[in-house]
Amino acid sequence: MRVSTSTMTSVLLSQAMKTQAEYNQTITEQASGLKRDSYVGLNGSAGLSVSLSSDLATSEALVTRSETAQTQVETAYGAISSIIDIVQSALVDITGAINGTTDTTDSLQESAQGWMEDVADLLNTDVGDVYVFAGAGGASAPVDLADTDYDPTADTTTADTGYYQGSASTTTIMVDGSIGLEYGITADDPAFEQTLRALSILANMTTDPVDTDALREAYALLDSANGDLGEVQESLSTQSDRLDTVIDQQTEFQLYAESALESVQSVDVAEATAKASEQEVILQASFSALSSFLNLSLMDYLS
Amino acid sequence: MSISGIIHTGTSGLLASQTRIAVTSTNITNADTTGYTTKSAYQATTVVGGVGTGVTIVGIGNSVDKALMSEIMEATSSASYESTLYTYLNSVLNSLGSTSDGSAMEETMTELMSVLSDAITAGGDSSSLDDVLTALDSWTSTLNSASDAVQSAREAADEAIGETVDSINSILQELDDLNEQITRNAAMGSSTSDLEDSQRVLLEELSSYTDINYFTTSTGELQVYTDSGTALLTSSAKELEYTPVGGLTADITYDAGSGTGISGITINGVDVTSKLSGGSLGALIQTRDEDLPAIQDALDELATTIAETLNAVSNSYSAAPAPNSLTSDGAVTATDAFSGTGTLTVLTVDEDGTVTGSQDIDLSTMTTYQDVIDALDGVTGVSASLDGDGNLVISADDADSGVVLTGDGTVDSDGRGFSHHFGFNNVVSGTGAEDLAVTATLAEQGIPVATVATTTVGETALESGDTTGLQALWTALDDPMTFDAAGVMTSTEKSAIGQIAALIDEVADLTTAASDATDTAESLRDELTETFDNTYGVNVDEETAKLVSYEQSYQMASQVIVTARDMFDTLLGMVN
Repeated sequence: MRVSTSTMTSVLLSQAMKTQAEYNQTITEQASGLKRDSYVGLNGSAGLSVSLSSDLATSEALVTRSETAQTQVETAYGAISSIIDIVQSALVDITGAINGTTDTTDSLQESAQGWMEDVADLLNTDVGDVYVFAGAGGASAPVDLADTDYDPTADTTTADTGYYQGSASTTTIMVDGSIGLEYGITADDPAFEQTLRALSILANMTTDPVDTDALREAYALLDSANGDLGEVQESLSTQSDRLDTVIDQQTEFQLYAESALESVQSVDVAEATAKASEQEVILQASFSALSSFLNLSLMDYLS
Repeated sequence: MSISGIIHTGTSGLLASQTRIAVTSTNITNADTTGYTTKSAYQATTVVGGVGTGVTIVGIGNSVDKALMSEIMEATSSASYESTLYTYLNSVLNSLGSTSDGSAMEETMTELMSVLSDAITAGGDSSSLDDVLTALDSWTSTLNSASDAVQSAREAADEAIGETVDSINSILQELDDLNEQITRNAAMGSSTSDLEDSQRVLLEELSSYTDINYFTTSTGELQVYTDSGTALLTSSAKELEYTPVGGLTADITYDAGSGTGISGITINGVDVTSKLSGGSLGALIQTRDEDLPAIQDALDELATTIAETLNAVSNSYSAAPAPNSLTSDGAVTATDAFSGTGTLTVLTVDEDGTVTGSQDIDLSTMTTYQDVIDALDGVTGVSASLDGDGNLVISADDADSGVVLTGDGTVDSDGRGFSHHFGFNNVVSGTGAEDLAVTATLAEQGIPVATVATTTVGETALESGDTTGLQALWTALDDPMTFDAAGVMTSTEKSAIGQIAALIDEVADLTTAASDATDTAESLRDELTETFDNTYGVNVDEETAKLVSYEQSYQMASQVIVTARDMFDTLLGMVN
């Protein structure tokens, strides 16, 4: 067994360079926190890394969308509470008018006009330029009482949604392949239509003599609307709960996906540090081997 | 023995030592020369009349292990083959994405689904639909770039084939020149071992380009053949010829004997491409003709399947407001035979989506495309004709009206619905990853968003805020679709994102496998080369020791001559 001087030198040198390259790779990992920049370094988990990245982005967008939706649903809920207050004060005032405890129905007529405008304003509530009662899109105010198609007093017994300017569809959030989560309520819902029709009857009734038939008709409509508005609020509350569930599920999923992605892509810093110091020792040994080989020569012993 | 005989013996020792010191000094000075092997001077006793009369050098050289050498050639070829495959796969993989930057194909698809979802929530308003168009465009662009990257890698491989062929030719020429010198030296009885070292270095380099077989004839001439027996060097070097194509696209391929596309590598006009296996040249041919096209096929299948799925959905819906005219995606030949079943309903609608005209067309009665065009043109308020490019255009006569196609009519030739067959409402068009793009007329016609709710005149067919078409597109991307086996991918059912991830995973796995194979092949080559070099290379300490020993031999031989001279002097003194 013999060795060639030049081969030995280059072998020792290339071993040292290889160790140095590995050391360099480890400290780069330590510095960047990533295993390798190329998918080659992910040990067959490249596909997992790609789909997890996509799932994470999708989930984050879904949570943002759901949170926006929740704000809209809650705003709508609040607006309906105010409408219910108006309906209830109207009911009290009508009762008073029918029982004759109220001096004049003139003020009731005036109030009805104001309430109508208030209800219309409440239905035109917007959050960040999105009208919450306008359905899908919600880009324009959903209620316009001045619309020429709207004439509720023409036939007070039939529903008239001529005031409605919004979309025919409710807003939808895509959660997964088969489920589109619909949320929100549009301003042409019977509860709002009845409220507006009743207030319109009040605002346009004859006050002298008092049109008790109109008062009774308005009372019946508002009474029904009062119940319906409660139900609408309940359904909004259910929607809010469902959105909450989506947000919770997605947030939980994100935690899982982030940790899974990290375990695929990232290095364990403690492990990388330990590996780096181990390789540092090997590299030192490698250099020292090269040095002792180069320093040892027969010439030094021949004299 | 005479005294002069002793002097003669001493002189032969001096000469022999000188030669050996000369050989040793050449060894020492060439210790770092690539491919140089340690030479020895072989000496023998000169015998005259059965009596030893001194020493003589009978040859200078070495004998290397031929079996080890051929193992090295094989390992060199294999290491070069694997590392070349790895280089090209890795470049394609990097163009598909990286850990830190993610994958553009995945990101644009995720973005497309996200903006579709936004558009659904926003009720399909114009700004959200613009975003969908932009996202569709980005997604098709990343597919185009991925396809470009594969084709650039093919082109680079093709150019490298040209360069490798040149390198092989120059090595063969050098080997041919060496053959001449070796046979001349051998005939003159001179040492050929240094020339053989050069020959071995060249052979090793040649084997890194392609698999070779070689042997030396009795006259010392080297003959080289490819692994499959095609002569590369016999009495003269055979010149390989190849001209790279340049501007490679997926449909330019090497097809032996077809005379079109990529030409073969030839020797004297004979195509030897299939005979050149192994080494970097074999790997380049494999990369250009097999490996990269397999990735391209998988990309094409990904592109066409997703495009087909999206178009199948989009053609079942209508843009809202309905476009004034619908243009087919691709030319129609009026005289071609047509066969269909079911009923096509053509609607004209006003700006609010209310039906102003509705007419049924029974597709089973049509026999040519011209019949279809005539039937469409016959619908009240609608005109149909072929435009300058041969595309079928159906338009509403009233500039403020839109035209909508609905009904259960299907075309027999591809089983698609009527609108899908012509691609009136296609969102993307193209034949593969290379040219997939947003359909040219989409921006003008609008993305099909709404369900056609009714065909009754006076009723609203397209509801405002209806986004069922967008929901169907989103669902189509999210649900598994069937991808056929193509190139590197097997047949599977996956969502769009799932298949993109699977494709990147497959390319990454192939690259990792190529990287591992390269490591294994290179370490085998290095180990064998190390064994060879350690066995036959120069050990400076060994040569130094020899040098001292030869110096002593020289001194001894001189002492013999001095002794003989003293003997002569003594003898002369005695005579005088």
